[in-house]
Amino acid sequence: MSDETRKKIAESRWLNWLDKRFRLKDYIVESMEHPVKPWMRKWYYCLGGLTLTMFILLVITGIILLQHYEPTTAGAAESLAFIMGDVWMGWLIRGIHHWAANLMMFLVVAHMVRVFITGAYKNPRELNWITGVFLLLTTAGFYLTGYILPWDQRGFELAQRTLELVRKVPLVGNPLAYLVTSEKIAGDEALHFFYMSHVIILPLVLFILLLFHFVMIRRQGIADPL
Amino acid sequence: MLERLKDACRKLTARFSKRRREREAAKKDVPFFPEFATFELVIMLIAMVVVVLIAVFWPGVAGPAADPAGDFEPTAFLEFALDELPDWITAVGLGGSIGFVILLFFIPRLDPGKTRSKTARRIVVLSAAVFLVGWLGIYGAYGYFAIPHGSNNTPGGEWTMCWHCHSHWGGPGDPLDISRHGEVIDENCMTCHLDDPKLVEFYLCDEGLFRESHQCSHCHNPHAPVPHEVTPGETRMERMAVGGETYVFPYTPRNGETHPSLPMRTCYACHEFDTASGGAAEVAESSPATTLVGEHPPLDGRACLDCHATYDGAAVGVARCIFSEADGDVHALPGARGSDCASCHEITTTYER
Repeated sequence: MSDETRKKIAESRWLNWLDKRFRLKDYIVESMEHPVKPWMRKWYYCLGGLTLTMFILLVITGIILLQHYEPTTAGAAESLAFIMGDVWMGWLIRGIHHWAANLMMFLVVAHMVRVFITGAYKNPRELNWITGVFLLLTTAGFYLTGYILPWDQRGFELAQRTLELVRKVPLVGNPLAYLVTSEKIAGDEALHFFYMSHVIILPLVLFILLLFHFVMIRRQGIADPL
Repeated sequence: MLERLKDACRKLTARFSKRRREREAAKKDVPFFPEFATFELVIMLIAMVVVVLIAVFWPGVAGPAADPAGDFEPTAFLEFALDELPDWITAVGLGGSIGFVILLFFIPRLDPGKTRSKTARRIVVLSAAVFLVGWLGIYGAYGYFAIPHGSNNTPGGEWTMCWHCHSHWGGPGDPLDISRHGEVIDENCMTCHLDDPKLVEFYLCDEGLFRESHQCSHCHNPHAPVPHEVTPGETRMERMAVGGETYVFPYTPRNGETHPSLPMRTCYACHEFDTASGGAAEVAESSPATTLVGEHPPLDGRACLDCHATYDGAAVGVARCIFSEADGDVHALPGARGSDCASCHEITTTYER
């Protein structure tokens, strides 16, 4: 960091205001000065950050979609048509949500492949790798539940087939499926479950995992490639 | 001479030293801000712009509401596979996927060393590449093969598999009859798209407009990513209820019409509007008892009779009117002829110049 930047930070009124209350200045300065290896300035070291970007896009567009979406079997498809046709820029918001979700799934896998190739899961970063696998599963969960929510024929049949698959699991299958719905054919109960998972449970899980993931990266730094 | 050699050596050494210094400098850490932060922010910004652009050009589509009481139709690639494949393959696939995820958790345990041999590196890169290509392949197959119509509005059609259109069995050497790719067998189109036999009679039977020379896929692209591109030109998609199902047809049906008025641009894709082989004259020769539907081709400053002969074959130029009725009478008025076509006919064409 140049002396000029350092001086600007030291003289920044709002940073000083914040620092008096939260004592963040040292942390910010330390973060900005945090040494980074020059070889990290490659696109494939940005895949994790890009995944986060997609997640942020998904959260923003998801909140807007949440305002208009109706999680009932009778109204889901209709509310989606309303979003696409009547809500200002609704088609674009949903389009961004749709494509960001696809890209996030792709980027999570690509990020994992990069970590795998560079051996970034090795001691002492095993826990971060395991968190990453959980994050992959959570993202897949988002993908599945998001696919079901429009409750068009695809969504409905995916919900129904998923339940059928779960029921086939020996011993625990039926009780697990009963957690989702008591009905044989997926209906409102199942849709509510998937909706609740998509907008409450999975975001919470993802937030906790991401927090852990980032704290570990901050503590351990980016691994040198093998 | 010796001095010059020494000088050259000095310069060479200096050049190498400079490069070494640059390499050394490149190995040194740089602060996160602004170098790395700016780089990452730019990449993130580009990603956001890319997503927005994709969403603008290919916005998501909303399908009609689900009908749980209706017949079950395989509407997704995976579900379709679950239905079609033997149970043991499904079990192996499912078990393999779960096993793979469990394996992922144990990778740090399975590969504990701090270094990798050259062979190990090669294996890692190869396995990662195989995984990525395989995963992308499945993803691509899901997107491509499972959405041949590119429309979410056609129940049962959207997720149709490739062999539903490209025949089922072309022999051991060509199991999916891919040699006919692009020439989707009409009967296969008809299984979903036609409850009305008039269409076949009018277009594809022995006396039909297209007879055996044309197939649906010559003009319609089942893989079109958006509905209005299913048929080239300006034909649009129209939702219709046929046989208790809702389908999306690439035209606006008019009274008593079972097929669109094809934009002439569709014909121009293959036919030249002239008297050369393959042009209008040949079409007229091969299909004299047909009615052309659709708008008029561009006049290009020509008078009507430059191309249109009177119906009895006394041609002006070479081309005979291909717009004649089946009974051979151009105007449905026996004996009616005339050169002042525009007094009765209003010719409008979007391609008129």
